[in-house]
Amino acid sequence: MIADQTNGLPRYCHPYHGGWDVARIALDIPESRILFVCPVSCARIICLNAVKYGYKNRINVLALTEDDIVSGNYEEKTIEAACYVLDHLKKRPKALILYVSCIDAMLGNDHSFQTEEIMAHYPDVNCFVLKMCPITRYSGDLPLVALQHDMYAPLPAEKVPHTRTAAFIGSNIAYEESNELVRLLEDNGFRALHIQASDSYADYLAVRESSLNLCLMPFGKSAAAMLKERYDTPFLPYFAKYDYASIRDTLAKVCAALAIPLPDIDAMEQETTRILRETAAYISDTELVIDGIATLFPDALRTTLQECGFRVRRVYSDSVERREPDRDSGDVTVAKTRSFGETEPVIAIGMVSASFEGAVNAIDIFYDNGWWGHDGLRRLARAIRNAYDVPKSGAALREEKRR
Amino acid sequence: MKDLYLKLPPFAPDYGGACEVMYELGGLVLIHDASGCTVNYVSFDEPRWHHSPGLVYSSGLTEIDAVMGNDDALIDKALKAAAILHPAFIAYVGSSVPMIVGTDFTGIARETEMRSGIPSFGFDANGIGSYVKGASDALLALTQRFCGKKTESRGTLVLGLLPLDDAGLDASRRILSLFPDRRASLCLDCTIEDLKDAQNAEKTVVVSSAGLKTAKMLEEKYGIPYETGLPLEKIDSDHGSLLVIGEDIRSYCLAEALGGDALDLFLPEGISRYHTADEDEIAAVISNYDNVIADPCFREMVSGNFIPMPTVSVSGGIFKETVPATDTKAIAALLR
Repeated sequence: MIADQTNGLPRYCHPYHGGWDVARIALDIPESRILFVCPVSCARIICLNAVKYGYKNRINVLALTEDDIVSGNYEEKTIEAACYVLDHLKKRPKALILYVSCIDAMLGNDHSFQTEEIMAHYPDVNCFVLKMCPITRYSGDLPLVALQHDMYAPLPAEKVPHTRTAAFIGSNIAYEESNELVRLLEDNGFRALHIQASDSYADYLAVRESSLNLCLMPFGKSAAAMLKERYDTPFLPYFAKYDYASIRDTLAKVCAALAIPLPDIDAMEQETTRILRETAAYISDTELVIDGIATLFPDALRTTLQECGFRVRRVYSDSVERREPDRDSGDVTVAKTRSFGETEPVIAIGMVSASFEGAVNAIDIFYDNGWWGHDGLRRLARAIRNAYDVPKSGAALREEKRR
Repeated sequence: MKDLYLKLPPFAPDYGGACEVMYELGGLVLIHDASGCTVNYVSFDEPRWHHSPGLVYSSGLTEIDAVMGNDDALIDKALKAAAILHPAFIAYVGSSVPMIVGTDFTGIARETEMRSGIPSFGFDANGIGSYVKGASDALLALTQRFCGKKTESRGTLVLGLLPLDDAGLDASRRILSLFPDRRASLCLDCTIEDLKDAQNAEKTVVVSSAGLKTAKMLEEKYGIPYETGLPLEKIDSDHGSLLVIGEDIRSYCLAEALGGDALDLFLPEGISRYHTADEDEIAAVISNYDNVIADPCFREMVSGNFIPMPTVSVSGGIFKETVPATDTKAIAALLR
């Protein structure tokens, strides 16, 4: 589990989250819609992200008032609002997500009463509850881990025969066709199923027929364990890393699990090394900084980059992988010394390090951007080269995203 | 259906307004939340976050501390941070969970001040009220506490100017430029010294509702007269009916300059013709007007002529300004 260590200090909150929030992740369930049921402020960031990234038409908000909370009236009001939303849509969603926030953890609601009544009115809609409750982060799975679990829990309980399908669980972005894992699967007659790449609810249901679940981000481990228990689907919890040994190990285990031949990993490594070394030479003495929002495995990335000739000035880690002493931590002491303005001639891998360091060049990458393995490293090399050629600070990248 | 947002995003909440007021004043501000509310604030309600340092943090509230009422953990965190940051004051700002468990912010602030000697404040925001209320409460409390004896009477004090009221910092600073004789502005481009010196203004100008209570207090306590509104150029143009949607005083001033009505989204009463945040009610009002000036998020609700005027309080700075709110001539040219 990822620890949250603030050393008894208040939490420093950075505004950057890559445009990914719990709603956007949940909306990876194809043909789904969200009704937030919460105090109005809880849904603000969600709705504004949705406006910014163009999916606001899949999100509605029922704003709870103090009267609703005190009287308990909001339980009935939620059902009324859900029915109102479903009645007023031209095309009804396949799934309606009732999203609740921190206060729900305090109030002890019985949501089954609500979801059952809604589904009784609309039998063609799968209605279930997801929770945006950072307040419970010490009370069980971390919120993002629990979210992945709860996204797959509403799948029908009945088992279906396994097919030549391997599902990716736990990452927000579907892997590219060029990714070696996707290639490996498809070249051997397996479907690489990523619901994030689909517009069809049928693909969400198809997760049940997966022969192997690939959990390449830690967030999906609890979900994958639940899917194994329910559908007897084995899973490989090989989290995304950038070191060659881990990539090789993952590819070998996938091949063994699916009884398919091992690809030429030596050739992959040689090609990746060539590209990384060329990029390092191209940017010459320009230093890199890396943050723990760009990748959950900044140390692995740093090691690989350094071995290929890059100069890494600093890693801004969160509390993951707190093993090495020469690390700045993403807490209040960093905030106190952060730079304002963009004057440092470094390439920042991640918008948080760009902001802390005052980097002239920033690469906007969030939790690996769905980049994994050798394909991911090569994509990163291209991004570094682009950042070097066309410097854009974090502020410039933010401004580009204004509409 | 009442309280159901089908098209609009929720607007900036009370804790965002309170934090905006305090951002430049050198105080340590703790939003008492798990972190989501603070992320909300720094992400969409505080345009200054990327440009200048502010000391706004999350208390990192946990379920167990909320259930057990462990206020000592909160105070300890504040004092530990204060020992590093040496703030001018400490302020606790509430959110929805403290509302549920009934956190006593006044008591917590009192204990903090007793233990540290640092002036401390508690604001029981709940994430339900509007940013105007949060900002108004914070500005009033700080001014009441820090203003001393009146020693002179000079210059104009601009009250209630917040980045939330505009499309961004540039737009807010353009509002400031309308007052060349100002001695200070609370709370944009200001310091704690400006706040401590507020009683020495000759007059105050309230540019948004967030400053109104403070202006009244300064008048009552120090005899400083106040006026409300912006000195916008009045345009006599021939156009259809016009509705301006936004903050009460801002919308009213623009509507008055252009010849139209205003709809205030944030307060139950004020100088505008309409006051509501209810989507159905807003839609009903909009349907009566030929021209509507509002944040781009309202575009979908308007069938007539729509003139986008982004405000951070609605769309969180994600839209670029298209026409300056102070340029009434340019705006009038867009009316039909």
